[in-house]
Amino acid sequence: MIAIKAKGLTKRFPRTSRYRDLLPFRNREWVMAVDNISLDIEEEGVFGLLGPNGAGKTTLIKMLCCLVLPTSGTAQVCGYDVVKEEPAVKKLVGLVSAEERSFYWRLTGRENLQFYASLYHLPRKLARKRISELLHLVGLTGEADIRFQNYSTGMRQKLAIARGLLSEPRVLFVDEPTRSLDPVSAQAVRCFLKEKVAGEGKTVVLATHNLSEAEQLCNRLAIMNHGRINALGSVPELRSLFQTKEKCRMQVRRFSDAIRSQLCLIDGILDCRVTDQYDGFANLELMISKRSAVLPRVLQTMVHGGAEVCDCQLGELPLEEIFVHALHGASKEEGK
Amino acid sequence: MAVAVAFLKRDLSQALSYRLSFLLQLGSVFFSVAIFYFLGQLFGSAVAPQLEAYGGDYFSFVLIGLAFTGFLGLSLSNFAQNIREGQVMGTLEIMLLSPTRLSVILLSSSLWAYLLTTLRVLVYLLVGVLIFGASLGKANVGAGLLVMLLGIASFSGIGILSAALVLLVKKGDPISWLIGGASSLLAGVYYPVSVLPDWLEPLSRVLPLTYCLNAMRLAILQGYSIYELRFDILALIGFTVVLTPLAFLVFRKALKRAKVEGSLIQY
Repeated sequence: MIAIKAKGLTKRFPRTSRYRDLLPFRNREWVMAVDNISLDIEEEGVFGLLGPNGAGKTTLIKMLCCLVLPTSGTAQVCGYDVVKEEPAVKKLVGLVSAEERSFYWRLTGRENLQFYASLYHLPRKLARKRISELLHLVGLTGEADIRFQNYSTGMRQKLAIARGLLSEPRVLFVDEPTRSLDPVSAQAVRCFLKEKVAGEGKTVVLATHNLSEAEQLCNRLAIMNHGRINALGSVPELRSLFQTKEKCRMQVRRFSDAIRSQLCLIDGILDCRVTDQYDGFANLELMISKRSAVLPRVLQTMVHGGAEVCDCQLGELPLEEIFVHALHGASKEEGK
Repeated sequence: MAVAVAFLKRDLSQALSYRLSFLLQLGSVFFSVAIFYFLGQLFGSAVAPQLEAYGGDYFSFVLIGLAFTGFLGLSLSNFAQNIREGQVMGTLEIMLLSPTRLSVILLSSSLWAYLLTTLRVLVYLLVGVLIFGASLGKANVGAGLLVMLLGIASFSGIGILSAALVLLVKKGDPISWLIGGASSLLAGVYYPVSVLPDWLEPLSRVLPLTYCLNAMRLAILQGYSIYELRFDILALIGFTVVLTPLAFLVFRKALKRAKVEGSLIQY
């Protein structure tokens, strides 16, 4: 099932700097925020929107939440059009932003949730029950009756997640949830999103510029830059799409210079270095391309040269490098 | 209804968290009433002929003006203030994400301020009567309440127009400034409209506060019936019927524009 479907979704913001810019029929400057994005997000699991600041992640999320109107293109959430069927979409989505301002600081965490629950027309008894469950789920039961102004940043973020889940949304948009959290709190929020939200069958759309967070949480992700999706797929798919060379580490017994010379002649070996030698063992580091063609020939050469391969490990391209490749527009095709 | 109660609860909790400010607000009523009492004493029995229609007592005249102008000031500023607060706090966007209709959010968010202003009006009248001896013995309470409700409805239309402008320009609201200033000067808050020069008096007739204060004074100070106040009441109904739908229409357009510009929480 498709949770979100966008087709040619575009958002250009008019630049308003003077009062006369508010007048109709006036030529204004436009800033492209989201540029012709087409996207299908499957139901359940975590989908990541990964990109640097200003890539268009938040604008895309706001369009899908009906908070910003698209300039052109269409988008549907669970089959409902975000422009034409706004009330239906609002019943299906929740939003967790990193914006601490969006709570009433003089009210307690529980009072804040009670207020927002009423906007979702939850009957009082049901609201009370759900608020208690959510506070328990995010680990704020003990602090529920403390004023929001006395919460730590981590607690505020947890309360924002609880608020996002108040209406039991089918799709939860989470915008940089760990932006200002310490590593321990950030990890707790990630685990919560993965296990308690996505694990309960909801679709989570996560905007982040934290690469390890994206790798840890997302089933699939889109790498965005300048309002466009530069790459789309699961992390392994993106890796295979962008990985042009791999690092192969080997531990070899009876390795010789003659074998090394022969290895260097193999087409696809970009570099061959001995990093360490001890007790008849040599540790090698090979940089290879075309792994499936090169690796059998490497092993063959070793065996024919009288060496014994004790260990062989292929290093994966870090997500950072995939990210850099994608940002520089190495490919705009979808990973398959 | 549940939404309205939630807003009231939210605002009450916030107001009570600033107890001193809450009490000082009510306490300030005493000082403004006292100032006008002593001004009334200064005029003494030298009754201005323009006040005769309202019973001739300047203090009672100005007491009603002060008390009920609060509703105008509130209506002009409160909707816009709530929008601005929502922009600054970031709560506006979260509220608009919910399925609650915008008109309900807008009206519910002002309920507490109206209740507080009603309380202030009561304090004005109590201080005026109990401490400074204003005479409200002839008051037609029913007619007064009707005029008050119609006044609030017509002022609210202007307030919502003003909120629409704040949604777009964020700060600096010419509607509130113009209507508020003109009403203080021309609508007969501190002196009867009849003291204005002939060329200025017609301008007072385009302001709902003029009709509201005139009818309110006649109802409270002279005990006029609804029938006797029908012209002022019809004028207020006219303002309400024209301004309220217009205000919601303009506000909806402004919201759409804010969504186009992505400026809902910009301030």
